Amino acid sequence: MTEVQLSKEVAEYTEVHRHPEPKSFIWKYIFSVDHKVIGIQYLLLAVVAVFVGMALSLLVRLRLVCPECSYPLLGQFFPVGAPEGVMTPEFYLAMLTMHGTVMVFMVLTTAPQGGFGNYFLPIQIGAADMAFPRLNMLSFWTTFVSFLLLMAAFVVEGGAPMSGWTGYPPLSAVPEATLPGIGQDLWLASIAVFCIASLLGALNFIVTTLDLRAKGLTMMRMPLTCWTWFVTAILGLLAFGVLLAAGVLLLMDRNVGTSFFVPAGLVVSDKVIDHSGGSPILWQHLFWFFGHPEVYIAILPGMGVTSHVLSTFARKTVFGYRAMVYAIAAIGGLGFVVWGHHMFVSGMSPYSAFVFSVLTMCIGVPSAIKTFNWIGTMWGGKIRFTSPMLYSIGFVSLFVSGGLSGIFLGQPTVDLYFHDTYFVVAHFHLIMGVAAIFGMFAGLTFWFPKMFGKMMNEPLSKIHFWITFVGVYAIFGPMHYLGMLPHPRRYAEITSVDYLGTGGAAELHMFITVAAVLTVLAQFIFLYNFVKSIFSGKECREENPWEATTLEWTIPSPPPHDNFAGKVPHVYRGAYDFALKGAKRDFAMQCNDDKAVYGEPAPQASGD
Amino acid sequence: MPATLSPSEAPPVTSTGGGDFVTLPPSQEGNWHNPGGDGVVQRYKLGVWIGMGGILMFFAALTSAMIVRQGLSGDWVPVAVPPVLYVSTLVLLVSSFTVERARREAVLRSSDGLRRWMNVSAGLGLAFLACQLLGWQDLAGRGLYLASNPANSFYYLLTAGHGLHLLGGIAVMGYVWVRIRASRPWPTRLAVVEATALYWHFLDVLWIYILGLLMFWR
Amino acid sequence: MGLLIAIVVWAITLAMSIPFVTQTWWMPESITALGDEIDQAFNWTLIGTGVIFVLAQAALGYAVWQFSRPTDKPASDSHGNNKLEILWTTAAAVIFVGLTFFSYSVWAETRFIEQKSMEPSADRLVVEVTGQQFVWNMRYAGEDNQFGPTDIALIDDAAGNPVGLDRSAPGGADDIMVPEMQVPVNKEIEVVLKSKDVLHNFFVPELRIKLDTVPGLVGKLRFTATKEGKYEIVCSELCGLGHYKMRSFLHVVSEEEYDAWIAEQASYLF
Repeated sequence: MTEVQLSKEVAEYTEVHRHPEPKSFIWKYIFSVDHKVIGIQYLLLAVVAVFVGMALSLLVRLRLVCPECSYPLLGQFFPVGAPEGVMTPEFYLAMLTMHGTVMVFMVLTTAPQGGFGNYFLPIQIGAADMAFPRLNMLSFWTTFVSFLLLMAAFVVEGGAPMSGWTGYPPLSAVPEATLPGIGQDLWLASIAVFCIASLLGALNFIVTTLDLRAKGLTMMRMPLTCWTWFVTAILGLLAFGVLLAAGVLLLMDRNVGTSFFVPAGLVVSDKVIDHSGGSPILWQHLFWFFGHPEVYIAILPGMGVTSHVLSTFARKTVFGYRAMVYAIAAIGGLGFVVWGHHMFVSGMSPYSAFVFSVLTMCIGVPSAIKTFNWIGTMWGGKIRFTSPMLYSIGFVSLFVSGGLSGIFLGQPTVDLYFHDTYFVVAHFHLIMGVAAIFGMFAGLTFWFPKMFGKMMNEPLSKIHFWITFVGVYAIFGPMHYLGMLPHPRRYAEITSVDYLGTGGAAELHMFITVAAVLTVLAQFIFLYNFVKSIFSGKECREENPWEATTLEWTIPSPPPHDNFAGKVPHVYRGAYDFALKGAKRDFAMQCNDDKAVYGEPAPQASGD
Repeated sequence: MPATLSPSEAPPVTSTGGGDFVTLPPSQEGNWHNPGGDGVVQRYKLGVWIGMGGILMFFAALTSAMIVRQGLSGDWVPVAVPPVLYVSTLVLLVSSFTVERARREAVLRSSDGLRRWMNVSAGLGLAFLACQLLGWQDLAGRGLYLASNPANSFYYLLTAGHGLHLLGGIAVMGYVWVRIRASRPWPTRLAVVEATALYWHFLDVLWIYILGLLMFWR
Repeated sequence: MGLLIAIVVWAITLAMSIPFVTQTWWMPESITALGDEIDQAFNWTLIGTGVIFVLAQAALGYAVWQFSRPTDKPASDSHGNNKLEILWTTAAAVIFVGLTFFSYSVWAETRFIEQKSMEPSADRLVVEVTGQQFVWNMRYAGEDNQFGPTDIALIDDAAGNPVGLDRSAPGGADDIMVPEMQVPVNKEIEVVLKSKDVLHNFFVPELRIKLDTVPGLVGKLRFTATKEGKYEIVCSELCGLGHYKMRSFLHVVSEEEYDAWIAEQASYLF
């Protein structure tokens, strides 16, 4: 075991038992129980998945602007879905379904929580690992199996499912209504396995946060990142069990002839389907009971990272820390009582629609608090434009843009027009898609020196930021106008509806596709930067290159196997003590006692 | 839940001291770096409590699906609960007592007692599962298969869901056995035993709930 | 750098807002009184969110620009401001929740059609719309004002009986099946929505309303079109590979034209 020097920032610490580092490659890097290795495994999985998801979205975009164009290479890989390289409408729907599924489950759910949360939650609270390290390993490998199952859907006969990432029955339940094949079953199995993995992960996060905090680290002194991971885990714990149940029921409907979601008397192409008495609406209730919290599972960690980074690089404490914590909790809590707003036009009772609507609007309130406080955090600060700061500023802008379109969709009256149009596509891509991704970019560039002991190339990151920031607005901004036409979602072609042709949909689609191609190309800058920096980035062995305050910046970069080398720092203050009056520096780390911050004699303690 | 437990709050079991671990200052109880403190017991139990939340949501979703599905259309034919379920219920209730006994043996640090009562409990668990299988056979004998009727579908689904969770509990009992063989320090053994006992009691209550649902919400 | 970010954020804000002001890509004109009210609700929402959008992005750009300029002043040690926080929170709550209450009456009119106060007019025209992959089937009750019973065993697309109508049963003989919908102007229309197979969604943009057709359930929509014309009915819920081409027309015509049309359709029956 290498001897690790304790940071000179630490005023006092507790000696704890040390854990030996595993020696063999397999236990060190593959079936590792080290939360840092697992975190990086999750991140790599998400990177692979995000490029798969992006490729799928490009196919979708390409078919929209030119349904009859041939892409010979594509024809080689998918002779059925794209005969001679021309994508069929069912291939379009399959790509669209898989794009949504891969992005929502394998990227937005894994990277922010499983990736960054796994790596930094234990370190930020002063623990040597998660509460249940082996369970943690199990969570990752279960997720990995789920990913493989999902990818397998591409290669089986009949191809990937085409019922959308929401998998609404009867389309998803009655094979006769789509294409025969086990693609949909693999999809369901993948989701079910993913649910189990996420439940195990959520349990681990909650216990870790409650039980492993360092001495002096009260809940209200935790970094906001930890708060968002904690609340996200609670959401996951309560939501994924419901999706698991729904997925099992749908699998049974497809394979053993039960009728949970399939009503009696269906007739597809003159053929009567042998089912009785189920309800398609039941699936929608179960799915969205999970689906809406899932949105916050994707975005909350991004909010935490943004708060963290904005404060660090504005050199100013988070504006209204308590309000931020309450807002995170409120968003999480309200997330469970608004699922009905996805079903305003499915024929639900108008009374419940109204209740769901009011509750939905209530979510605007904590969201407004957060936006206000982010701007308030920068207000009066001394901003340093590092690349994580740029991504975080981008996050705030995208969060505002994506959030406000929700005000239209949350009112059933207005939603009557916009439901299932591109307006919705614009809304959720901006807020749970790219805003969350900007949170990940911020997290990755911010923590990269800590994770790898190297810096990412700042100019490259900044170039990537500019192209991506303008690019995503160029992609998703015009989708609002498509929604105005109104362009229904999930149309493989626009030629069959007259008003789309005359309304300018083709031009808008062309603009969006060009923007999408350019933005996707820009992601390779990031990939290049990421991979290159891991192997040959500028060395950064400093503990605390950003002059940040939280505990991860008191340990070497990269951190040793058990993080604090058996010496857990005591915590004396809140997570964002910047610009303290009378302090020797413009920041005070959480492990600095007053003597370290102010020198002798110490003035009144600064509390939390 | 406080980050650390003051000595007065800590359960008495720590005071007996362990054999093969470093004794640490009380401020560190509740931290996993310390394999000997009773923090690890607390953590495992907390884990089970949190896990219950997830499991409950799974069964709550099935319950609501069942209630909705039943109210929907006229194809619901109530299924009479096979009498063997009363036997299985009794077996499970008894197993809760034996698990409790095993837990006490673990607190008293008796490897033999723990192993004996753990074995009895696991045996009862398997007996319960056997009864559940008989229940399925009973239904199948009446021509009531998984897809014959939504009421049957839910019967099979709920009992299978519960059975799988119980099987998990039995697997953990096997793990305890391995830990005893490996002579792992008592507090870590105790942690698993305490967690298993809590989980087992939870499955017991969950079964009573499912049985009630099957009997009275037909 | 700060100024650059501010300018880009402001430019994007402007670029996003302009088409909403010039109405370059816009909703087709509403043809019902209800549609006008929905437009009202939309306009108020647009104004409310538009103001917040511009203010928030402007403030973001301004803060980034102002507080990145080199200065000797130390960063502020403010931890927050409860008064401002409460003020802002209340304002947001009033605007957001207020919008819902504001549009409540419109929602009630659209959807509380089962309610007493919203009693349907006695001489309304009922049209049954049945969705199937990937066509719309419209059924009129015919002379006797009564829909004939249907039976899935009788369904035969090729023979022109997509809904399984029993022509021999009472009320069934004079039912009219057509692929496009024809309704008289200024008359209350009740659309009864059904589906044969999967979910579809009946959506006429000019009416501003849509509703899923759910197999096993019956949905109802009501409208009174005040403008003659030919409008498109599009499917707005993913229903399979032909989802994009599942389209039909709503013809709103004068009373006389409608009578002539329905008489002509009826004449084909016998």
